[in-house]
Amino acid sequence: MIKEFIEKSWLVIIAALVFGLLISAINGQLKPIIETKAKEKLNEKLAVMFGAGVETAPTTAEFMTWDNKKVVVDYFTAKKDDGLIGYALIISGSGFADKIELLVGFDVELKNLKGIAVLKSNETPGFGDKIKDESKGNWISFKDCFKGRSLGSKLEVVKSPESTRSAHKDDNQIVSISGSTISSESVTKIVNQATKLMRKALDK
Amino acid sequence: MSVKQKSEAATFFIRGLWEENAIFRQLLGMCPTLAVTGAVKPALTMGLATTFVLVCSNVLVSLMRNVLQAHLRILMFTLTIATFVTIADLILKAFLPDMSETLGPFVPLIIVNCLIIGRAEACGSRKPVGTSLGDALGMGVGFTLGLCALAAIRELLATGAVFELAVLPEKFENWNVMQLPAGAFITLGIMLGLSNHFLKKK
Amino acid sequence: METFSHLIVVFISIAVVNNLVLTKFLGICPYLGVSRKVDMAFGMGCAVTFVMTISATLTWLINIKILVPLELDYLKYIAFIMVIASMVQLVEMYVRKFFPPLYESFGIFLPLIVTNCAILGVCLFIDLWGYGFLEAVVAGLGGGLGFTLAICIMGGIRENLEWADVPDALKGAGITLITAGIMTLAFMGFSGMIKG
Repeated sequence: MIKEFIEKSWLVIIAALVFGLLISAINGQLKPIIETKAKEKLNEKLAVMFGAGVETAPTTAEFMTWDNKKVVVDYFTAKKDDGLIGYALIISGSGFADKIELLVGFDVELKNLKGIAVLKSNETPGFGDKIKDESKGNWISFKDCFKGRSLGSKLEVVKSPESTRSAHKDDNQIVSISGSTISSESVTKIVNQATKLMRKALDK
Repeated sequence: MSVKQKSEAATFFIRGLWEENAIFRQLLGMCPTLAVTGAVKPALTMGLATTFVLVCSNVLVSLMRNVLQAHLRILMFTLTIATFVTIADLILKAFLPDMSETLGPFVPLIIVNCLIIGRAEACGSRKPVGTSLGDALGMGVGFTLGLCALAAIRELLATGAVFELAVLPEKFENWNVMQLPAGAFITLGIMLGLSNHFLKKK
Repeated sequence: METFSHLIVVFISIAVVNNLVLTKFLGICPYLGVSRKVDMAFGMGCAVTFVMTISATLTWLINIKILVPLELDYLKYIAFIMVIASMVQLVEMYVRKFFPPLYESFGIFLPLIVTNCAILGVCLFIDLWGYGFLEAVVAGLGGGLGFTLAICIMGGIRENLEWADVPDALKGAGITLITAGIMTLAFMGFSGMIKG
């Protein structure tokens, strides 16, 4: 019985062993590279948000909810020339098609947004994925609409022509992407959530 | 390798490029064909990754062909293919992280690309190493070219650019539908129709 | 109650809104190959739903309970495909032995399922989305039913297409793809149905 089993399947067993070892060897070689690349990418986005020369460090804070549950928040502190200049938080929520993961940056007092960056999204190409667009010339992209925004009151999405984005620079109104109201609303909602979480975590 | 084997390998290579082109002739590997052809860059990456897996697994299967047990054949094929796909995935993640994110789960899905398992069954497990290599290269390159052709048309109509280089004038109204699943299905359908119409009569 | 409604959202999301065939391009090969007749399409759909639910459950257990704690997650793909392949074998043997009529009706499709990317696709998406156990089971079931829905609609359309006057060059795969394209446009109407 055992002999027959081995006769029939020795190739599969050997192959599985060899392949397993091969993959773990390659994984061992490449894993550090993958991790550094991911870190570099995040640092690049943080540098865009807080300006060059910024040093960021991952930190955690925790707070208790009203029903006594402990919530742990992982965030980044941004320092420049030894002075604290802001915080950043990675947060995800549901978008139009799939989850959206954002990096949201705040100033020290949590009064203004430093900006947002889209880390992961799978929105409809040509519509919802315009949340990732960069500004061009005079045209302000949806993402850059959040830059420097005051957090006095909850951010809201309004439907007006995209050319009026610069007119709404100082209030809480975010001009949506035309044709993708739901994606715009999802991002804004996630940013609002990030603000709430950050305020609770830092008790500010 | 003898002269005869060499010429056999060459025949198989050329056959894979067009006569038995995976996409337009055999309708194999349809999932990635449709999913990653929104732009040329991911299509090219996907094509190369598939070619890598195809070549490695076809050669390895060909080396093992004399010791393969008939009933464990498919299991061995999938095991081999899955190994090389994992390697390709790790390499992509390490050196082209942005691309790997764009392609997402379609890299691991190369495992179930019927093209690869089909070649292992039809060629790798029957022919010597040289022929298998030629066949895999031909099929892989043919597949990559097919992907890129489809992607070029879709990217051009969807964004007015090819390989992210603007081709059409700024005034061109982008056809957003070409980037959606619908655009993929319809473009491929029309391309198949055209290739049937002009090429099959001969 | 909240978890129950959440599970319903997961189900509808994967069955209709993010339909595997029409928005994620998974399982296109059987979708084009086995959709000539409605009853064939239905048989394939049932077989896929069956295997998909079981493999989604099993791969979730293996991934979360074995591979992740041991930090072996780079072996994920191999483990997933092995689970699916052996599941298909087991199911085939079991069904042949105990439910001969069932085997008659969808047994022939079972071997084809190993290379159906929808199954591996669902397992990978479940891992990517970080679903919990119940969500994974529901997603497997919903994915399978969504596949059945798409392939049966396609079968119905193709039965009627046989009587239509299609240009010669487009006959077969060409017109099927174009039909599928129009169907995805229709299914896009569902997207955005599920908010936050």
